[in-house]
Amino acid sequence: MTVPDSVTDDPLRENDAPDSVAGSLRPLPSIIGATVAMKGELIVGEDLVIEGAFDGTITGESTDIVTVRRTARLRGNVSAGVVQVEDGTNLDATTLSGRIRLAP
Amino acid sequence: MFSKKKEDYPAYERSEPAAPTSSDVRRRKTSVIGPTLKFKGELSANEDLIIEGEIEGTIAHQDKNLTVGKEGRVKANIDARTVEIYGKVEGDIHGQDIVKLAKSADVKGNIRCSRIVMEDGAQFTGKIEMSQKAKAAPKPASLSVAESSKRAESAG
Repeated sequence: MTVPDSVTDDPLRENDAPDSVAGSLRPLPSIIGATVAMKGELIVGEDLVIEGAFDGTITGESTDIVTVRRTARLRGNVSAGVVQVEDGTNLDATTLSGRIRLAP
Repeated sequence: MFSKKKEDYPAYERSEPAAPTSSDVRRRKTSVIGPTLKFKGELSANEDLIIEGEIEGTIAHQDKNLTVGKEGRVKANIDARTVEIYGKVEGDIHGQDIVKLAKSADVKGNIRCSRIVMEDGAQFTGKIEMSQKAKAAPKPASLSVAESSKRAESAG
């Protein structure tokens, strides 16, 4: 998936940089692992990767990237600057807000 | 209280117990609740968990390790195999194996475990119950209790 050159504030661009590039390092994301189940309200101020189950509301800031892996079981609302969803993810009963990207 | 920004936490120099690299986290199958995250509700997990953010509710953690980092704030009862506290916890803690309170720990609640380590400087308000039903305790419970008593005496 390509990002237009005109987009300068896309958090994904910074995130794509190699970890070794000094000065462009984003803090490591929070990780909700595959065996984790959460039910409730989550407020995020950094990048987040969801591999497990979440039932409720996830609210991120405009610069945050929320990545939903295909192992995730989501119910509820997810809003963030970028919501990146892996192909094949079950998103029944889920509302996504922000820039939605489909990842391979 | 909620004013922390991610810029304050450069790539995982967040606190003592934090995983140093993402590959390490992956290898260990560890979930990370970062310092800017605030969660209210029910959390259960069957993998190691590092909490650097704020959690209020319930934590059912089964047979794995739970670490509350230096910036972690937890208002919940905790049940895990091993529990390491570097931050603040309000709630009862059940460590099936061992509970460790670092010098930066601030715990208000009762602790139930088979072994406990409390560093000099740790803040603790509550009761400690040493159980002999340790699932993974490598030594006889009586020895563990004796050791812990010795540590408590030397610390206090």
